[in-house]
Amino acid sequence: MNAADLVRADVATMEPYTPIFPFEVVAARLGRAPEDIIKLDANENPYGPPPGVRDALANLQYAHSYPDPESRILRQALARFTGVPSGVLLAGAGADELLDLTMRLFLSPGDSILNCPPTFGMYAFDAAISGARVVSVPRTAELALDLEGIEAAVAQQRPKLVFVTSPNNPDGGWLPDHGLERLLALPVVVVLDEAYVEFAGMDRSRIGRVPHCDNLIVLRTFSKLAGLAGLRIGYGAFPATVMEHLWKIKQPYNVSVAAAAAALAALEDRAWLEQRVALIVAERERLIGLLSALPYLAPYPSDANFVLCRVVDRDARELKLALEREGILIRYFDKPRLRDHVRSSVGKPEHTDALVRVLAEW
Amino acid sequence: MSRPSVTSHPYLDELEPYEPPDLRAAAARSGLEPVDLLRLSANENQFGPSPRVAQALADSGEHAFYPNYAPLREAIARYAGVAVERVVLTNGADEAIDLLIRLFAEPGQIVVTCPPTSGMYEFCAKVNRCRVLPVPRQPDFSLDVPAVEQAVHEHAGDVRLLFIASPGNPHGLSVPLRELEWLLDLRIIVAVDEAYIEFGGESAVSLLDDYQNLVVIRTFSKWAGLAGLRLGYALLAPPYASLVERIRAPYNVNSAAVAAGLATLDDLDTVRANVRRLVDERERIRSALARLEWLEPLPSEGNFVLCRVRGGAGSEVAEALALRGILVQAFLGPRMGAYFRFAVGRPEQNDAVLQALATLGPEKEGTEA
Ligand SMILES: Cc1ncc(COP(=O)(O)O)c(C=O)c1O
Ligand SMILES: Cc1ncc(COP(=O)(O)O)c(C=O)c1O
Repeated sequence: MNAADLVRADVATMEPYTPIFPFEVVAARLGRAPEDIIKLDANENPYGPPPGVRDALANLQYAHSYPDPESRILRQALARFTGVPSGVLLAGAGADELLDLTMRLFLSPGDSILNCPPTFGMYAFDAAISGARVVSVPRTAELALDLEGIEAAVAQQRPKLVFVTSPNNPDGGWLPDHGLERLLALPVVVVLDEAYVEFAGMDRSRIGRVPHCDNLIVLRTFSKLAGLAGLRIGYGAFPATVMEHLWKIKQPYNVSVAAAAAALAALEDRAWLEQRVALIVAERERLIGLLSALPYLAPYPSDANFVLCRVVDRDARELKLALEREGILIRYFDKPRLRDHVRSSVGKPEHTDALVRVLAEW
Repeated sequence: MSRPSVTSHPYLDELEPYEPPDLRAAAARSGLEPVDLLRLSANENQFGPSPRVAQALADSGEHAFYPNYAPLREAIARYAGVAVERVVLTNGADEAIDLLIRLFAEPGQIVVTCPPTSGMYEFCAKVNRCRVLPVPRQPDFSLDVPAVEQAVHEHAGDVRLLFIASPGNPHGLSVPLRELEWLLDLRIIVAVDEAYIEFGGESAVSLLDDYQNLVVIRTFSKWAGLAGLRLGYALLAPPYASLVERIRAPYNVNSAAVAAGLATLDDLDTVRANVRRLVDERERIRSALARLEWLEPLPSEGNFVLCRVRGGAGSEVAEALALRGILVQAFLGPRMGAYFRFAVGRPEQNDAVLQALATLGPEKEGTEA
């Protein structure tokens, strides 16, 4: 029997998502020890999780027991952290899982989502898996949302969901209030992905609007803020009517007990989190200053923990490879609009120094 | 203009939210704290994980980074005795079930189950808007192979997958390989769920080379005591495996599960010794319970025992045990209403169950009220 015969037709022809290479793999290829690699390619937090997380994991009592399907204790802590009631909060295995669940809930084959590239790749990826169409309204030259274009596309194509990211990945741009208002006035459900919102300001999230708004979903994560990308823990706030249905389709044991314990421990050390965010924000501004001093780089302003740069009159992929040879990993996207760009996470000061040293000599 | 709504999907009406066991209610009735309850209702491993796991979790420097699955994938390939190209890691076996249905079945197509069985196949089928065709097992819980075959032929073309647990939950019976081979000759994907294989039965892994349409689903939840960390895997033909790799979320398995999985596979002697103890305890429990007139414990190859209450309901026994702080799983419906199932625990926990059951029984019912 031919393997492909039994596979869903749309999956067989789908584009794979290209995740970054695991850094052990890159390290081996470069002949370096993993410790000698500076990893600035996945917007991770260079400070890692707060110290309480280690204790929580070392003392994990219930690794052998199934997790609470309702993540009750974590959702209560999240309610205190975000100020929205736990009844409209759902925890997931990363924001990634909540993106997928949201699409599964709203989309039937043939339905569409509206996507505003360049942006995070998972929206288009998940839509393809759900058999949905992707209506693309590219961002403007400055990578802002094209609001007129979105309004026109919504009227013509009737997508059910609009995905917007603030701060946006890969540029770190912020969605201003008036833009959000215009989106919320449309006959769509707005999924606002705030994976990086804490780096724009600890109190700038729009999550507080969700209970007052019947077409806004806000997704957040511990991956960036709390240095827990590996543990896979994110959360979302959903209109109450949507929550009811999400409970039906969520896998009962989606969030591991380790992820829940780590997230709780992180929330207990808000001061530590805020200090690290402040360090990263200060370092971001220093990095942008140093990059803009280089003749061939034009960094974008960023509200996130990364900086996107246009590479002027030189080859962006070559730049990425040159840094890689020095053990520094940054992100290059082989995608429309981005082929002359690179993105670097904001690391510790010594990471910035190492990066800029290589860049200065290139 | 109206906003899109989720309720326009009729499939949602067929789905019930998952009802977790209400530990607090049970605790309140027993007068115990939830942590003092003996929870034997979810087939968890009461020995817990390898002692190396806690250290591995704490020491892992990986939690801040998106995970790298290559080392664990290789270690699992060695453990299972298959090529690494066949291995797909999943967020528990549960996610493997979902991914397989997602890959192989389109909305409206059919997934065959053989109840009584784990509810996850039906749940995942419905979430993926597939139809479920149940072909019940025989009264002795063996597979009704001719009936499965007939069902597949009757719905020729629409049936995409068949899920068979072996050893099966809730009965603990495993399926002989020759029956699987019979079913594998049908032109559908046969997913053999080996969640309990370390406790007994013959693995279908030996058939992987001969059948492209065979998928073996496994988990670290039971034998390795890692239910809370969520680590499962699927073993399948390399072309299919690469397709599952393509549709799974790039970071579906968490770094704690990765660290714990590696620590477990590095400490197989300890974990396997616990598995042997559970198997010995299972047999001890079964022979002890066989002496009770009112109870029929079934033979099991899992880490649990299914019991039939002669002339009574499983739920009554479950309720009486809950009052003593012991949680077991009862079932509803005409087929399974007389049964309850409980996980084999550590010896002293099993003694507590045996003692409690010895004081129950129809003749003692009056004194219970
Ligand atoms: C915009 C955006 N959303 C979501 C995610 C994924 O978050 P999580 O790690 O919680 O799945 C990322 C990760 O890079 C991201 O850039
Ligand atoms: C037959 C069977 N398969 C799979 C599972 C779930 O496995 P996991 O914990 O890896 O999701 C169970 C759990 O009870 C089970 O009984």
